[in-house]
Amino acid sequence: MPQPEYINERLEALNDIDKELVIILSNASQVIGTLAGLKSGNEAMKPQFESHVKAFYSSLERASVDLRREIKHLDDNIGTRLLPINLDKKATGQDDEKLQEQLELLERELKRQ
Amino acid sequence: MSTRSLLEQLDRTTELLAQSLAQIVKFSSLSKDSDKIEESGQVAESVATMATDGIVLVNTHTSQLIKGIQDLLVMTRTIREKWLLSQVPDKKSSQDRQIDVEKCSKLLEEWVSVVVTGTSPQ
Amino acid sequence: MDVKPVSEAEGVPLLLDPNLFGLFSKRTPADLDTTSDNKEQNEQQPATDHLKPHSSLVNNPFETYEKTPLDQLIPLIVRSRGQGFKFADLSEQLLLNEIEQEQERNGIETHVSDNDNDINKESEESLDQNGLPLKRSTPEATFEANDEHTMSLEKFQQCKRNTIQSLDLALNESSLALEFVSLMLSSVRPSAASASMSPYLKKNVPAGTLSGEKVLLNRPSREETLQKQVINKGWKLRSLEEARSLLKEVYLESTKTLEKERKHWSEISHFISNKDVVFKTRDKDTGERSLGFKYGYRDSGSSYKLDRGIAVLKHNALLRKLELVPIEENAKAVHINQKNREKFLRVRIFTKLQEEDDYILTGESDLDSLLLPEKDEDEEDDMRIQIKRLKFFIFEQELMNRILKESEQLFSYGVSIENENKVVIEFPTEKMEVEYVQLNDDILLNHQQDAPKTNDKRARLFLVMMRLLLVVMYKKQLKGNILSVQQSGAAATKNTRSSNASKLSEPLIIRPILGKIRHNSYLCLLKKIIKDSVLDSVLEKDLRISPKAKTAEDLSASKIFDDHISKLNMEIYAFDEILSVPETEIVVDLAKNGRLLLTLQSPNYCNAITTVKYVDSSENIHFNTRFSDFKELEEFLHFIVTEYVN
Repeated sequence: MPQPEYINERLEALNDIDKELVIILSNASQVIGTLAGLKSGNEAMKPQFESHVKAFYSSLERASVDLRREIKHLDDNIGTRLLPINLDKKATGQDDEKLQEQLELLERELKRQ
Repeated sequence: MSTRSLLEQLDRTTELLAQSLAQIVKFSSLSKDSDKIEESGQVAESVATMATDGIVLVNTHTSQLIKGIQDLLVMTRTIREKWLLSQVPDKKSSQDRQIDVEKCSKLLEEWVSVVVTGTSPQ
Repeated sequence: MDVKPVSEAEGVPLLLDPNLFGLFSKRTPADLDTTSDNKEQNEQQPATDHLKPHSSLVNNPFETYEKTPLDQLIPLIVRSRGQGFKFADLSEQLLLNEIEQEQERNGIETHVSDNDNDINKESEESLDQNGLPLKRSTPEATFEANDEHTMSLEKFQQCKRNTIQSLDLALNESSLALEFVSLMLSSVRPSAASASMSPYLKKNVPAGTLSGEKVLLNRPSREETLQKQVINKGWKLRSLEEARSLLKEVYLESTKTLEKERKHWSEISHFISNKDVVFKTRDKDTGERSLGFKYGYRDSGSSYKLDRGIAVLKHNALLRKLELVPIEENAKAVHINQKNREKFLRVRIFTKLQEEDDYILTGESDLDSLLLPEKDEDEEDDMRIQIKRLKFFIFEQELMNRILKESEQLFSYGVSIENENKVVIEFPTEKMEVEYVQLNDDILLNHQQDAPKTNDKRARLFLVMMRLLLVVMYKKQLKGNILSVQQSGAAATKNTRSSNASKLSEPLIIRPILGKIRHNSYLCLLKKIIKDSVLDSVLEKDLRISPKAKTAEDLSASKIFDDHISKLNMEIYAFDEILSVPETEIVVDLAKNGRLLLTLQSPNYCNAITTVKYVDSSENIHFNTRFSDFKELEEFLHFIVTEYVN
């Protein structure tokens, strides 16, 4: 049963943030890698180092900003789309489900033959 | 967790992440200065101290980096769980299920006629 | 050094040695008596005992008895004081008194004795402070010899103080020198050195620390610093490299995990709807974090308590799919595997063979489509089907449970409990079996082969109705819950609630159905009686049968503002057809002889009570009699017909 559009959007956004977060790790790894290169005297790596540092911080910024936005979304929807904290969800409506199902079955059975 | 504390944690972690990498970079550039000091003979670090200090420093910041990212990943998961696990059920669909009393009664009458009359002695 | 005469074997009597103080302070005054004696003795027997020969000019008891061990000295003192003296009685006061007496006795020698006395006292004092008195006594003696009579007491005192001071100083210096030499020596001859060291020094300075070793401070050479730099740089590069590879590793790992997680959540997000109750929990078997799924009807009006209806989401590695595994809470229900909970209700109708006491199967409810093996299912549907099946089975379980409970009270109406999985309802011409059956392959297989039978439809309808009636019970329970909360407000005590709940949960599943059927057969019987006794004289078309009109009072009587309540009322009311206690009115029109009104009621659904009224042509009502016995009713009808109609 698919989720409502809005929820899917949120989940998608969260997935993107996850990806961005992991990329930060990769960026950091590259920054340190080029840093080691610089330290061993390879001055040619300087531009590379700089671009990796830039990438690291921009990824971090993006992830942080997006995550902040998602938290905001969450906050906005508590009480409307989302249940307030500390409120247990109840499995209501299963009676209706069964009633509907059995009534349909009843109708079908009566029409049979 | 309240959204407020989530925001606080986000701020803290972002700051930490930014700091961690900066610290590692700083460590490697600082080492030039310490080289100079050693040249002048004032610092007589043992090889072991140098090794451990350096590794500890880099390791600490590296693990901080990793931990920070993991914390944020946990946070996205928390939010995801919120969306999926504590949605307010749609009221609309349950109202659609308002049963048709007339139809129901008719069905029941029919049921009685089929089931009950079947048992009556012929 | 002046201390030289002291034998080495005895050790150096250092000023710091506390033993000496006590020894001398006790001994000195006691020596006064024997001063002259000792002097003589000293001169006469220079080498006797432990008394050292010396050439001191003054009588110095310390010198005399210096080396006398205490265990010899004390008896000496005791002996010198004569019989009956105890050393313990010796006090300073006593000695002072003695000295005074002595002075009085030897008047001529006063001055000298005084001096002696003073010297002794001083030596005492100086001993208290410094120890060795030897050096000091020499100048004093000289001074005494030369200027004995010309010196004033004051000047003498002055000299004495100076002397004491110098003595103290010298003593101190020499002690320090000794300590120093001892300490220096201690690195070469530790045992010899430690013998001459003061306890204080021994305690605080380790032996041999005053050796003159030379420590070289090597200034690092150019190569060394260079090498260190290289090593340092090497380590740094290495740690950077380690950090890089660690981050890379974590990055790759996280990417993988993330992908897995993404897939997991997207699966979950696809199969759960916002109505499902999914919550975080821990898998009791593995202890891992997992998701729990609530499929029971507890929140939907069920008061069934044997199964909470909660499943844990598990990843079945074998089938590579997610599975919902119900949590087994009831220790009594030992299920070997999950399949064992898959039980469903089956209704079978057996028809009695005429003139034989045997039954044949004429109808059987079919399997719910949910139970049939699915053909090609995709993953999302699979979860949905799993949830549906769980809901189905728990519902069937509760239904059977309720039926069993209800059947206990219906024994007198032909309902018997064969075993905990089977209830049989007997009617005159047939019997119905409600059975709680384990779903297995045989059933699935046979089901497809079964040929349709005449009563299949009725069996199916019977089953559907039982389920519907259980739902109606839920509805009543929900209504009761809401009402009890509303009535008693927030302070709803548990007692009223539970009593309310128990009242509502009175099962009404078999009874209404049974009542309908029984009512119908009573009605047939009644019609037959009426025909036999009345219709001989009237026409059949004059017999009107009408079920009691439904009253809509439930809905209209009470003004209901609550949406939930009105919805529930509506739903409950929709089943009035089945749930209302059956009641049928029969009007027999007797033309000009008035009419006969019969009402057949089935209180408690299953009993039959007939009320008979006779209305004559002038609308007078005669009789209003109730019968629970049809035989009596028949006789009564006969009576009316003979009396009024004919």
